[in-house]
This record gives sequence, C-alpha cells and structure tokens, in this order.
Amino acid sequence: MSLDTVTVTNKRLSNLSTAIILFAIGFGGRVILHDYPNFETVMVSVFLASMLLPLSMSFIVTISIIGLSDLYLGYFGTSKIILFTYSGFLLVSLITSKFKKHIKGNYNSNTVYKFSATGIIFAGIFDVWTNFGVFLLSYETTFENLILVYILGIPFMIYHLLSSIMTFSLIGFPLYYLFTTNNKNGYNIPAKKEIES
Amino acid sequence: MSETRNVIIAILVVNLLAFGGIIYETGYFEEGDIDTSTIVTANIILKYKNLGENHTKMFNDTTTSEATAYGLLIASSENSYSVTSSTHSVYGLYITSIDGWGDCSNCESEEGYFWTYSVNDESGDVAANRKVINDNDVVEWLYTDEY
Repeated sequence: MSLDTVTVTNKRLSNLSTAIILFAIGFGGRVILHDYPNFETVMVSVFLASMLLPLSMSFIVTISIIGLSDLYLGYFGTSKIILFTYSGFLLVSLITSKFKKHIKGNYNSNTVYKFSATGIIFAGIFDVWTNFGVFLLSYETTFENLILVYILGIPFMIYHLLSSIMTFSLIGFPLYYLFTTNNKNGYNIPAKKEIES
Repeated sequence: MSETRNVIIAILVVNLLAFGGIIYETGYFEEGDIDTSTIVTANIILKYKNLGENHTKMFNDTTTSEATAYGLLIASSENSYSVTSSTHSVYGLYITSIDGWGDCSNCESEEGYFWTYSVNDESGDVAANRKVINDNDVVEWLYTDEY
C-alpha cells in the first residue's frame, strides 16, 4: 500500500502579521520614494499580499497602502486619476491571486527570473490602464490622442518597468522566501483517504 | 549552497540589466557638458493662450550670460515677472509658472494649462536649460492647454 503524501507548506507568520509588514513596506516605501514617481514599493507589496494572503485581505492591504499614503502625501482627492490608479492596483492584486499557482516557486534562480518578469508584466498592465485613464480624463477622445498619450507615457513606463524588476527581485523574492517555508523535515502527511481507510 | 549562489547571480543579473537601463534612460539629460557660457542677445515672447490669442509680452534684445532658453527667460524676468521651475525625474527642468500663471493649482480655468517653449518656431525638444540659443533667436514661451 502506498501512501499519497503532501508536503506541508507553512507560513512563518500569521496573516495579520504578514499584512501589517507588507503594509509598512508599501506605505513606507511610497512615502520615502515619493520624489521618484515611477520607483515604488506599492506594486511589490500588493503582489506579495496577493501571493500570501486571501484575496479579501490582499484587497484591504492594497487599498490601505495607497489610500493612507495618498492621505499622508496630500494626494487624496486631488485628481480623478486615482480612480484608475486604485483600480489598477486592485487589478494587479486580482490577477496575482488568480495566477499565484503559476507564479510561485521554490528558492532557486528560476523563481528570481519569474518574479522579475512578473514585475514587468504588472507594471505594464498598471501603466496601460492608468494611461488610459489619463486619456479619458484629460484629452479629447480621439484615436490620435489615445496614441499620443501612450507615446508620451513611454519614458515613464520604461522607467517603471525597469524599477519593478529591481523591487520584485530585491524585495519581492527575498520576502516571499522569508514569509513562506517548506516542511524541510520530509515528514509526509498521509492523504485523508488513507487515514480514513 | 550552489542554489544560493545561483539565486545571487540571478538577482545580480536582472538588477544590473535594470540599473543599466535606468542609467541609459535618465542619462539622456547628461550627454556630456553643454557650453552655455556664451553671452547672447535674443528676443523673448510670452504668450498666454488662456487670456486670448493676442495676449503677449515681448522683451527684445535681452542679453543673457547663460545661452539657453531658460537663461534668456530668467534674464528678461528681472524686474518684469516671476519665474518658478521644478525638476522632473525623467524630463529634467520644467517651468511651473511665469508671471504668476501656472501657480494656481486650484484654478479650474487653468486646469490642463502648462508652459511650453519654442526657439525660432521650433518646439523645444529638451529641457529649457539645455536648449542652446544664439544671437537674435526668438524664444517663445506659451501658456497653453494644447499638446
């Protein structure tokens, strides 16, 4: 009789502790780096929250990070573009939650590259969405203006994409590894059907 | 241990690529030193599109020791109008207000307006402090909401 086994993956910290730490990283990083608009820690914090926490909790962390940092920096309510920035981060959170099985990995170089690529993709999704918001809110709605908005946004997008590589690999990967741990003792837990038999 | 080494190498590789890309992008504004120390005498026009198509101020034969569009703007501002500027992380120096126009962040009538410049009818393609001008050039600063 062979036992089906599962390897237990335990998180080192509770959900609440994880959420608080990720909030601190996202909020603190945004406040410290607010002079560098396209270099931020919000995206990687949202990503980690979505990888490590239930969806509802990751949404709360996301909204808390950007809402409270906006309040602190005095940006809250100054422009309708926040509709698109907030929904953009929530979109990243949702996509991460849906695809976390494909994104997660073990402690190896492939995971570093995977996380870096994820950072690029999410920064790209976010920038495409928020630039669309700029188009809707600030320009006459013509196809030419839509193209113009994206052309004008290219330098910012490139900077954001490149900075996301750095934050996802330097912050995202190490923290993901630190927040999660595999059961290294090799203890195999019998599958439920074997126990019941 | 070999896995840790591979992880470190991977992190170094992606960050070197990213850092190199950022340096390349932001290094656009540091393409060598620009000689702006020439003394030039040029003409400057301020146009306020929000006040009407014909609302302009002209300052002819203004002399500046910093031979850039920005230098000329500052030189002609003495005793005439105020200038405020800021620095963008990607585009470099940009003008936030001239003659008080541009400072009013809560004015709905000025929403979407910004300052742009041209030299001899050619739109500025670099930050104003890096646009070298020559004698008798015409630098126009336009307060507009059109891109």
